[in-house]
Amino acid sequence: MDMAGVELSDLRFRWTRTGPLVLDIDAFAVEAGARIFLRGPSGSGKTTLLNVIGGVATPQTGRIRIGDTEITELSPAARDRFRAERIGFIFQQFNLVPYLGLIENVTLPCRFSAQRREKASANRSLDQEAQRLLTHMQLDPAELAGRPVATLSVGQQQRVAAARALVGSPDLIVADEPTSSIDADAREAFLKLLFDETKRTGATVIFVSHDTGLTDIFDRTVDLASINRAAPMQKHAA
Amino acid sequence: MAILTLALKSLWNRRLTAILTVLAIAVSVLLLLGVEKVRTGAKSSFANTIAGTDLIVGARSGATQLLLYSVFRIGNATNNISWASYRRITRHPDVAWALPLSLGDSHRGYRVLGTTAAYFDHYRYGRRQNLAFADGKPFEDLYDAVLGAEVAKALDYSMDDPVVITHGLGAEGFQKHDDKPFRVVGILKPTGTPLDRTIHISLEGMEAIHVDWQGGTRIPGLTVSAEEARQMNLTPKSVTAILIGLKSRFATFGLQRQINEDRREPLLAILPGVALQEMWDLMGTAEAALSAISIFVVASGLLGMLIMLLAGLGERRREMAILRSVGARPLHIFGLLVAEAALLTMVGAILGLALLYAGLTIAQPWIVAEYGLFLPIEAPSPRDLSLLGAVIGAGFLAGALPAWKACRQSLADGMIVRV
Repeated sequence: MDMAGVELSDLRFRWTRTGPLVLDIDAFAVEAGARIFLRGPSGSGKTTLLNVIGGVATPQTGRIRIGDTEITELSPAARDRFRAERIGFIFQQFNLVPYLGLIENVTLPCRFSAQRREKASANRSLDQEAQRLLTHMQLDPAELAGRPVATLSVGQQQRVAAARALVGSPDLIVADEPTSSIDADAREAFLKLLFDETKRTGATVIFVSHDTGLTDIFDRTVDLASINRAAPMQKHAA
Repeated sequence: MAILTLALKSLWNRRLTAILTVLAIAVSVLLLLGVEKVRTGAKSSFANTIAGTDLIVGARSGATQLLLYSVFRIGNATNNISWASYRRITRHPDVAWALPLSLGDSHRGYRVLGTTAAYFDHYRYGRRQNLAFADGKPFEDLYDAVLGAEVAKALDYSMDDPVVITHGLGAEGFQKHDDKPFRVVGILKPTGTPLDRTIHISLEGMEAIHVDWQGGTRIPGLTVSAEEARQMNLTPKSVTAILIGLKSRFATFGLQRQINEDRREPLLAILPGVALQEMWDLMGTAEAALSAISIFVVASGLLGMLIMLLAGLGERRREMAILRSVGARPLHIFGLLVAEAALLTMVGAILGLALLYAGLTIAQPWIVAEYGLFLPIEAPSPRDLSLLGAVIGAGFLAGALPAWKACRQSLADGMIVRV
């Protein structure tokens, strides 16, 4: 299995045919297994870029390669399948499906990807793997299992979301400001736990945030405004 | 399967609104199937009441009216048939049997029918079934009475119990023929027809209790005891109606015409099947109106579900975005909403069906007692099943609108919704 480096080239994206360019990126590459901090202030096209990498939005021109797969050449259904199999996402907040339990939220991607289900249950049962990941994220599955996920603290919810992104060892983890809702002390601990697990699986991490305080623990920091020509000028200066 | 599980859990998460929606659908399905049940029950109950009778003869009035009072014990005759006409009909070469019916009196709300013992041999109901006795035998003595199954059960009567007949059809307390009490000699097995609610006596018995009556009241100064009446000529002067069985069915129309054109007395002969059909035609508009109302009630139930699903879409945008981020396709989102609608409709439909059977089980005896309508508790008919299928299909279709909207919304939102 190829590990997922990410490569964008000649990427142009607008939400409507006549609307303004939102992404205009000549070239951007992330090496396989790298941990990249993508600094993206508001309006720099960060959300759009994540939707494009996730295959949910389709650029008008350009190529996106993840591992050895040109996702821009895939059909929408194949992109959805690729996302389910190969990418784990963690968002800023409200990451969990309220009507699913703790373990069910962690194993949710396995409902849409047989490949991730097989990988997750290669050495133990799916539930045991979910419990392992939750424990790794310093949560006590036995203690939290009976509680509705909406009653967990924001920090706990983010760690459950991280466990969900990691289940079935996807090649690429995309984290969209996952630490912005948790206090400063917990941020580094959260990232350390995340990196411990991605190091084990060899997954590439793209971490998007406007918080520059965390850049030290990443392999490389890229300013999105500097690679996206469509980002507003005032944001370049930010 | 994944989507179905998600749909179930999602509905359980919103169980209060989901349960209310299911109840609304269940009640609408109950009404739809209930109307259907009453419609078919009434039809089969009416159609089963009489079989093997080729002609019904009464005083000239309307075919439906004659059918109603002679067979279903609903309403009253406007006039009687003379005994001479009855005799002429019985002597007709085409007539195999003729059963005189004399109606007009009652006992504790149940109608009393004066007839001949041949009634128990020739009367057929349902699929040409004979009357059968649960206990006793047909009347022989002047003051013998045979009870329908329900009369015996409701009034807790058994063999040899006395039965005092009330003059006319009024409630208890009107003038009674208490000087000539009858005695129960037979109890019929249930037939599911108005016969169950009838007390049968002989024509002579009917005549005997009226020998000292005129114009609906006792003749002042004239008292004839029960024993004295036995010595009198009790040949009736008239009967209310006649049921006729013919030797050959080919003779039906000929005899019907002869009776209808009889110059000696204005009579009306009807074919029970044709009269029943005319009655259904009369009731067709009411039936259609009832069906239309129940369809609108189902539509409003489904509309409630549609509103519930549509109203929830706004607050479920994040949920859809999360599902998209873990690999759900727009088709999955569509399927989730349709599955929710389908589950609500199916549970509602099944609950409606269960309520119908529960209601039938509880109310069946009361409906029989109050309306004379026997609604059988049996497996859903193909028409019931197709109605249920149509409701579930409509539920699927109703779910398609919020599903399509959710699909469009999730395509526009992508994976990240900042609400």
